[in-house]
Amino acid sequence: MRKTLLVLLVLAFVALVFAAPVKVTMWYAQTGIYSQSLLDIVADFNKLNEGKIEVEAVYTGNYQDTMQKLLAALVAGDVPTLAQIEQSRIGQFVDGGAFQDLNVFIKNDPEFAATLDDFWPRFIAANTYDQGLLGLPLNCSTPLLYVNRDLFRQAGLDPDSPPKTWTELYAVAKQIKALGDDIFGYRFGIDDWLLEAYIWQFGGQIISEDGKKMLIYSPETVNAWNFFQKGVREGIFIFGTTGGNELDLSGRIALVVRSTGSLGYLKQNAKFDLGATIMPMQEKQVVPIGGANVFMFSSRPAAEKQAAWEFLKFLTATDNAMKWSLATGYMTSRISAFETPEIQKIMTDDPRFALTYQQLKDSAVRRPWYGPYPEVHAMITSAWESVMSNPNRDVDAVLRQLQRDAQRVLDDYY
Amino acid sequence: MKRITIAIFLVITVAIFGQIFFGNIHAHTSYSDGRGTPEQAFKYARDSGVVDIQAITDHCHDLVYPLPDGSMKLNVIRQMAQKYTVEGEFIAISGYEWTLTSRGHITIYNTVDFLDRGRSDLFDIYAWIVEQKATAQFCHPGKTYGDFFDFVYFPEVDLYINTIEVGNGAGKSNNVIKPEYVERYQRALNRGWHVGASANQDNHDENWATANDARTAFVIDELTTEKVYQALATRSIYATEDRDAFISFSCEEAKMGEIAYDVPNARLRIEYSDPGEPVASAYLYSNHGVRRLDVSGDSWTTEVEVDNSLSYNWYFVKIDQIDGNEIVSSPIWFQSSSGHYLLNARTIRPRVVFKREFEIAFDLINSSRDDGIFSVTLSSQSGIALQKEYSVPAMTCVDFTESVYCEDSSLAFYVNDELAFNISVDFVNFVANLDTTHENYYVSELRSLTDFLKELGGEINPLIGEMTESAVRNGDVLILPLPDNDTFMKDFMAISEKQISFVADYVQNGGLLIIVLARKPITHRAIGSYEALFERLSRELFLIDGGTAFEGNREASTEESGGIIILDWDVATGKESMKPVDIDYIRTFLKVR
Repeated sequence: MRKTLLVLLVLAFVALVFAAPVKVTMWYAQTGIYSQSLLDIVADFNKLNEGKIEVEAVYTGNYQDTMQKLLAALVAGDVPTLAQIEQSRIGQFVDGGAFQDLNVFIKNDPEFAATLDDFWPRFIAANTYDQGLLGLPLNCSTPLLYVNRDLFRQAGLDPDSPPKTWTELYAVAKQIKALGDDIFGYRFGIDDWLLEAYIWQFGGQIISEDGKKMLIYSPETVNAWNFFQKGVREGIFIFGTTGGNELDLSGRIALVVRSTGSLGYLKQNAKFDLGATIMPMQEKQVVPIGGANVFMFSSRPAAEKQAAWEFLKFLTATDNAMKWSLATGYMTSRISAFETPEIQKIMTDDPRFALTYQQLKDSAVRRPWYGPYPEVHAMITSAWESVMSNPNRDVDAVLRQLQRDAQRVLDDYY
Repeated sequence: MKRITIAIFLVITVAIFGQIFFGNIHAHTSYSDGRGTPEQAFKYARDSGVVDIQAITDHCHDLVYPLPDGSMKLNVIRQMAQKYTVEGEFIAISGYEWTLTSRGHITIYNTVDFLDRGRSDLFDIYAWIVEQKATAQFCHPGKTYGDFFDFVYFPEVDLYINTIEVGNGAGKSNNVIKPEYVERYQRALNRGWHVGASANQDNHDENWATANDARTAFVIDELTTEKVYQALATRSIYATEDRDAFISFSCEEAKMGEIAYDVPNARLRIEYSDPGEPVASAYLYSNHGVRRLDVSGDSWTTEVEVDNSLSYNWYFVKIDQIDGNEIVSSPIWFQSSSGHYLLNARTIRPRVVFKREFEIAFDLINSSRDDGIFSVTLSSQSGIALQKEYSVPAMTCVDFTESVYCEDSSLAFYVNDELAFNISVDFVNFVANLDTTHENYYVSELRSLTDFLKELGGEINPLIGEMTESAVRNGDVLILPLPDNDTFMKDFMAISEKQISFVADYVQNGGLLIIVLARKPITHRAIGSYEALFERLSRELFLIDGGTAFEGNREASTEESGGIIILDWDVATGKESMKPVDIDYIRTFLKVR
């Protein structure tokens, strides 16, 4: 309490005597409408806090670039106050104790504390680590299965009964394939979060709870990878590292899994009857939470962090969470934002938008996040690409090798 | 010295062909997904000194949202274009990009309004372009963004879409002219489009026209807005990755971009000049093929005699400089003045079975303002394969498919006694379907068997996904390998009741069924479905040992209508040789010796 008072006093002093606002820097990693929406919220905040706090949002490249820049800044000791960091890229910061435990602010902020359970519980769970609550959700999503309902009808299938398991999806894809040489039942690429989903859904695991042991070489993961490779080999699925949008819009793909955030884009561009449903399961019903959260760096001065906290609250307040979701198509971080008439109208107009929330409540989990994970998932992606682009390559051997190589990375890190 | 030489050269050519001005007619700003404002863009391009013409073409779906002050983005782009245009000095063009990936992207210039992709599909934007009489361009055609439904042709739209990007890109490298674009350019020409070649940067950063050296060269005698639009309409342009290479492409009857009528033979004249930058190679592309030009050096003129044997012929030039930069001209067309053309003739199946009727398709184009009767004759050495009259309304292109019988591979289409199109038919002796849909994906394992069938003149057609009745019925041979007992998807091994029934019918109606016995005994209950198939074939044949062997007298069974051959796994995969009696049987059955 005393500390808080002191902080407040310092804040007041700075504001009154020098009339210089406290400067908060936030690094972010998205462009286009995402960037614009964030900058709009920042501008609103700055106007409301004129003379007191000034937030400067700086675009620092995509998720990977932003992570690299932050790592470099950490070494140089000039981190920003806040940063938008993608879920699977936070490990080294968590391990190094770089993030501020937000509970410190929440404890002194009963008004906010009272609304903490208004966030979707799985988002809070996904941001909770040994050191406390380290981040607040900004742009989150889950993957959906998108359906070309016209192709279903052409193949004599019922578009209202899309496949619920991967085996059912394979059966459907076989029938779709008979429509033509250049038509495919399922398209996939190298999106890392979907690779995690495939492995989990077939009952496999990637890495142990403590992040120290690779678990990727298992009969379950071998099955999962063999399944997708088989589909490619037989010409029923199509695999590619580029050109996904074009294929998905071409009308030649019956099924594809993409982020909820793609729904708006696909709706606007696809000239076929577009359906969407929850992602198929196999052994388990589970999906990863994709996207990014906002973190605060603990090494910044107290006054700056207090100002940053004010901004974090503003950014995630119901009204802004709603505006952000409306503009970008990402999920709302708060239940109250989800319940606003504006968001509810979207659900009423198009029930497909509600699916992602259903999936979030039922089966969404945090992606792996451990320190060396960015390096490990690059290895997973490259192994995946090697067996999918050469469908005669031995999946078992590739996974066995991957397990060994990735374990070495973990061993070196810890 | 270099500059002086160019200057002299230009003075001479200007007198004959007009002057060269440079443009970049595809670029973005923050009004869509680029950076900066249209005002900044026009100012920057003007001051860069590298282009005389700059267009801003932001994406349609971003123009929908007004600016913070409520004004419409396209209006501002138009105002800025007006503000920055100084006749004789710099031409700023307003436009937008209709951006429906999978169909293709189209830049449309100088319209007051725009049509968003959310409210339109390809044919809607075509109709809109015609209604607006707008100048438009096909952008970066190909796999990534779309190829306009393989450039399906509309004569009326052809009047307004007059250019195509053979070059597009804002990377540091000048290499924006890509093989895929050049290939699609030819495809557009082969479908009937009259489009000239452009190269633009499609900038999304604040580097309008300066990202690299790529640009569109305009051959016009003065730099005015009117002449620029006229050049686009008449395709008086070429695409270049070099800053100052000069080319000229002409003949007595036409200049680059023009259509000459009823010229059976022509002498094409190609000029090139870029002091210090000799050519590595140069080619004349046409619907008759590609011809390498015998030229070298950094300044030359050559002439090529061409024989315009068809009622529709096009030619363009592609020059590769020694430093890797490429230059692509717009075409010259030689056409019949009848306005009646036949293009895009092709067999429906890429390969057709010899001595059997096959389907052939073609487009009839009536680009005259009167409805027309097309008297179409398809002839070969041995006679006439098709003769028929078609009525085609004015300014339309109609696709027709006909069944024909013919034993010659070289065929010629005539329209009203004019030679319109030559086509070569790729014959095979028979089609062999290879089932892969029952956990029996053995395309590589069975290569020995399929190679044998190929040697007999057959085409192997793997059945992917589902074994359907129509696919089976369209083949002469059906190879059915028994499933792999080790598959991890055992539910997909069985052959369905329906499939049993149509496979039996197929054999009854004279088809040849080649069964490949299982590699390992099948322990799954799915084996029952194959036993049922054998029963249904009613030739006293029985599967035993989990499908790895059979009982019964196969030879006796071959006296029936269709044929059945049963091969051991080791025979089908080439580890053991096929019995002479089986080889003989297959040969006789397929009537090949």
